[in-house]
Formats: sequence, C-alpha cells, structure tokens
Amino acid sequence: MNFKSIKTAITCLSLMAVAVVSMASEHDEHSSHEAKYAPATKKHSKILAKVDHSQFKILKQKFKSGDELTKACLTCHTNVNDDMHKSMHWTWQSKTNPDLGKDSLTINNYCISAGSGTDKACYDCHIGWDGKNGEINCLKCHSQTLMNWQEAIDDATAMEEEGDEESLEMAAEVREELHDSVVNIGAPNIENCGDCHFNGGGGDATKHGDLDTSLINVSKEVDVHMSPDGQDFTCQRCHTTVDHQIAGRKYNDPASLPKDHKSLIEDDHASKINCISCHSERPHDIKRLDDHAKTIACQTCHIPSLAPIYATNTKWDWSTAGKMKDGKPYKEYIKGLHHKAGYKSIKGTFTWKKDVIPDYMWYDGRFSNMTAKDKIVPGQPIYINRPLGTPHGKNSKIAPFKHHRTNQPYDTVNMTLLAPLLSTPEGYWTKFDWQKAFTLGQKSIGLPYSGKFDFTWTDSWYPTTHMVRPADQALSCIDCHAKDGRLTNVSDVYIPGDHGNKYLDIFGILLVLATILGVALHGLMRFIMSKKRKG
Amino acid sequence: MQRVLMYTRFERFWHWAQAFAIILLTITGFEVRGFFSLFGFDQAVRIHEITGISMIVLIVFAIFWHFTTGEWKQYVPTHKKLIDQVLYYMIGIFKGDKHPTHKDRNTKLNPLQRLVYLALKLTLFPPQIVLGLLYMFYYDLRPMLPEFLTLEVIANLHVLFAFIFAHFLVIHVYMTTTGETITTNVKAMITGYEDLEEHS
Repeated sequence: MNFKSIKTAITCLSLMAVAVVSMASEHDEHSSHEAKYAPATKKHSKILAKVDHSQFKILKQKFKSGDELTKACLTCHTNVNDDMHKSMHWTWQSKTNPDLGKDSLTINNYCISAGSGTDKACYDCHIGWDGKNGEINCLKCHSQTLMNWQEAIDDATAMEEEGDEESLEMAAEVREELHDSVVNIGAPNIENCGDCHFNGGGGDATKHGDLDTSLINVSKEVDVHMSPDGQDFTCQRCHTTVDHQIAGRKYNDPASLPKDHKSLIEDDHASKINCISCHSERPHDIKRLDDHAKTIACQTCHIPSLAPIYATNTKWDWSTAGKMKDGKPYKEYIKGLHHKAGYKSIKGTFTWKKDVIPDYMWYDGRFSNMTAKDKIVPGQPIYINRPLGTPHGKNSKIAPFKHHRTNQPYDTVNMTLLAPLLSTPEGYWTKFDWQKAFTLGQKSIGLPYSGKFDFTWTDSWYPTTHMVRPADQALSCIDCHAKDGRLTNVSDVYIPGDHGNKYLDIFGILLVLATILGVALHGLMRFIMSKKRKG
Repeated sequence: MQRVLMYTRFERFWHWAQAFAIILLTITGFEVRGFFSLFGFDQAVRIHEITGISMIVLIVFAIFWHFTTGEWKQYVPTHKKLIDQVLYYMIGIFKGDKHPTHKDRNTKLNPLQRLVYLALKLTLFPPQIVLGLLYMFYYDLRPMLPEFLTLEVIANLHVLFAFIFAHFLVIHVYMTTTGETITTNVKAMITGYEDLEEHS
C-alpha cells in the first residue's frame, strides 16, 4: 500500500479543514465589536446648565404682543437674532439656490405651496410670531410647555382692557399659564421639533413616513436611537446645532459631505453627525456586510419599512376636492386609521398606507427640485423632486425613499404647476373657488396664471433616515437577493439572485439540457445496438 | 487479465473531493444566481465560498502531486489515434468494436481524454478560479480593476464558465459508462484497481 499517498491525502485534508475553519471563523474575528460605539456619544442634553428663568423679572411682565415677549428674551440672549435670521428656519429659502424654499418658488405635491407668507396655515410653522414680519417666536423651539402663546397673549390683553374684576381674574389665570410656559425653557425637545416636522404635509405622519408623533416615547422596536429604552437621543444629537444653524439636508444641499463621514473616535469635535460618527465605517461582524455598506446606505437595510405605526399619505387626488354634502364641506374618516380621512372637501381624495416598502435609488445627499416656474412637458412624468446620485459614484449609495403621487393642478396654457391659495378667508378652503385660489396664489409668488387649468399626476420622494430599527429587524439577504427583490429596479447594480442575464442564462440552460439529451440518445443507441447484436 | 493499481489513494481522494466540490459549487452557484432555492441564499453563498477556497487548496496539492510524481506527463496531448478515438465514440461503440487505444498504468488517458483534460486544466479551471476570487473580493479589488470589469461582468463570466463545467460534468459522468462494462471505470476510481488485458 502506498504510505506516501495516505500521508499526502491526510495533509491535504487537514489543510482543507484549516481553510474551512479559518473562513468560518471570519465571523468571530470581530466579535469584540460591542465597544465599537464611540462611548461619549450618548445623551448630551443634560450637559447644558439649566437657568431658572422664573427668577427673571423681565419675564413677569404683562406682554401685550409676541414681539414684546421676544424683545425680553433678547435683552439677555444678545446676538441670537442675527444667527436666527440667517437660519433656514427663518429664511425658508435655500442658501445655494434662492428659487428653492417654502418662501420661494418650491412646490410640493401635498399642500403645494406656502405662497410666500400669504398662506397663513402654512406659516403657522414659521418661527416668527407673524411670518417674517416682526420678531422670532423663541418659545416655539425652546418652551418645554407647548401652548398657543399668541392666543394667550391676545386673550389676556383683551380681558385686561375690559378691566372688570371677573375679566381681570381670568386674565391673571391666562397670564400665569403663559408665564409657566415662558419660563420653562430648555434646548428643543422632540415635541418642539415634532410640532412642525411630524405634521408636514398637513397632518401627523402625512408627509415623511419616518417622522410622526409615534416618535414621542417611541419603543425601541421602532426607533433604537430616539426611544427612551434605547439611546434616548434628542433630535439635536444628530442634527448638531452651532449658533442656531441646525445640521440637516436643505433641498439640494446634503446633510453632510464625505469629509464629515468620520468616526467620533477619529475626531470628537466633528460638527456633523451621521451613522458613521458612532458606528464607524465597518460596523458589522461580517466582512460581507461591511462590503455592502460601500454601495448601500445604512438606512436601506436598517429601516425596513416606512410608517410602522401611523399610516402615511401615499396618494392624493386634488381633482376631487370641492364636493359638498347638504351644501357644506365634509370629511370622511377611514376606520382603523389614526385620524386619517379618505376624503376631505377642502383637499380631495387620500390613500394612506402603513408599513410601506420604500423606493430605492442612488443618492448622494442632493435632490433636484421643481419650482413653480418650471415648465412641464406633456406626456413626460413630472418629478416634483428627485434624489440625485451617480451609480457607484464616490458619494452615492442606494438609499430608501418615500414615494408620493398626487393629481394636482397645472396651468394648461403656461404649462406650469399651479400654487393655489388655500387658507385665509379668500382661499380655496373657504371659498371652494379654484379660479380665485390660483389667481391669488400665483400672484403671491409673483407668477402668472392664464385662467385655464387642469389636473395632472406628479411624483415626489422624501429621504428615509429616521425610525432605525433594532439590528435583528434589518433586512435579510433574500429581501434583495431573490427574483424581483427590493432593489430590482435600481439601475446599474448587479444583485446576485435577482439580476441575471436572460440570454446567458437561457443559453446555458439549453447547453446543459442539450448535453443531457445528447448523452441520453448516445446511450440509448448503444443499448439498442447491443441488443441487436446479441439478438 | 491483470489486476493493476490504476489510481493511487491520493488520486482517488483528489478525484472524489473535486467531484464533490464541483457538484456542490454548481448547485450553490446556481442557487445564488437565483435559479432555485435549496440551502437559502445566505447559506448557499457561505457554502459556495468555503467550498471554492477548499478546492483551490486541493488543486494546489494536486498540482504539486502531478509534478513530483511525473504524472503530469499523462496529459501531454498526442494526435496519434485521436481521430480513431473520436470515430470510436461516434461509430465503433455502437457496433461493439474494441477500444482503439490501449490503457495501462502509464497511459491512463486515451488521446481524446488527454486533450479534453488538458483543455479543462488550462482553459476552464484557471479562469473560473480567478473569476471566483474576483467575485469574492470584488469590493477589496475594485480600485485596481479596469472599469469594464464590473461585478455584473465578473458574475456573468463566472456563470458562463459554470455552464461549461456543468456541460462537462454531464458528458464526463456519461463517459464513465463506456468502459469494459458500464461500471468498470467507476469501480476503478473507487477501488483504484482495474483489470487490464495483457498487452502483447
């Protein structure tokens, strides 16, 4: 017997085993990864020294207007006004493209346009007491007790003017409530930010799909970062703020640039926070997943669905607005949904969806945005906004987006989308007169209206980045690596298991089938011929 | 008749390990391509990678074995009786003719086998292994790769070669039945021994 060959075979076997084991243990190599989070990156709101504002006499005044109240704030907080007026929360305009912004020519396919300050309902979310006229309302972001301050000031002032005992007593009560709110000051909490940002598009959960009131005291299952049982972040933990300038995407300006994509371990003074800041560029235990992260945004796998708690608006048809019941506008709510209407006379028909699978696209952090002056081309899709990105580009990754479709009005002569005036006594929501709404709305943004309109379907996308789920809820391989998987429509990327090459695959299968048929026939012939010879 | 040790223990181990690896690679590879679901995508990838790397190790040893034992000479192609061998498979085999070539310990392969196996070793295994490694380490190698060599191109070429392997596999398995009896060749590859006619 050949002893040498036994020895060789054993050596070979053991080497193969070593190869197998070393590959298998690739997983364990990084298992001491738990300490990969930068340790100093947790809560920070408590670092700020609390000042007891109730001690300040200047805040005990009987303010007659919001402006007066703000002036009291500014006596101590000097210079804040200059910072604030530069902030997009005040300007409502993009710094890099003046046509973009709610106070400019931007339109969307929800409530369409803010009408440069004329649409008062939209301007409720502006940080001024009266839009951009007058002072900033500091309380909007800094009071930890939300209330309608304007109404309180107006009511108290009116009752004080009446002067009778009962009115004065009631006024004093309102003043006390107001004072409590005015002195309960702090860094913005989730309710301050959410008051506007959770209600984008006209109501809770309507616009974004990843931002709604479910984030207040959210469970860890829905958002590991914001949950009190998770990291208990404030919004500013990631939306870092310097001199009242809040980090985040602003129209076509990315939230952060590649130079900001560094770990806090590398630079603990990094001004922009993103996933990499805490999780590093190689956060997984498995190399293959880290490789994926070179092409795919973290959000793609770690935010498997939009609107997990409250349904978000996916489709809106303005063309059906204006129907009346007994001569009156009405609303039809959908059973089982969190206060969502299927039809509203003032807005038209809505479709709402929970647990929406996002659209996936290449994205470099920028968006292209249509404005009210951009022409539409008949027969071509109208993209109100669209993520920008280059397949495999240096700054581009495949990211998730909420897709929204709307049938909205356009000018059939000028071929532009129309910005109707909706709120205020002359707006569509009161008069139900489209002609009037378009005339006033277009005038407010300084654009013409021909007098002729129709409705057309438009598409818009919103980036998905909030509501990051626990790791065990992330997408698994087969969500994408299967026929018609989640990324099937993403351009210029090869997804094993989904994308093949039809011609190659058919050629190959035919080749193998033909070979099987060939040898079968050959064998059959041999069998028949040998039978014949013997017979 | 003479009983001869045709295939040494290493050769048999090498043959069957490689056969097992190729079949496993074909099944898991086509699962990754999305043709069917058997192990599950992530397991299929894992098995495919581990098997692939193991086979490379095995091939390195086989190459070493071929050179140290001089067995590589068995693969030197010859045109002598090549046409006869082809004609035998096309015509003679049906008529019950004798094999046109003689088989012994030092000429294990007939002229057609020599040509096919040499082609296999030079034009099928090396590119398939290189493509497999490119596929596996694509994200590490990408900065060094020419632009046209995208993951899609690599994957498609890898699949093309896989089809050729599958094509070979079918013919190879069938050809084992063309020995003295249907099972002669398989038995020899299992036991190592084959009964050969005395050569005068």
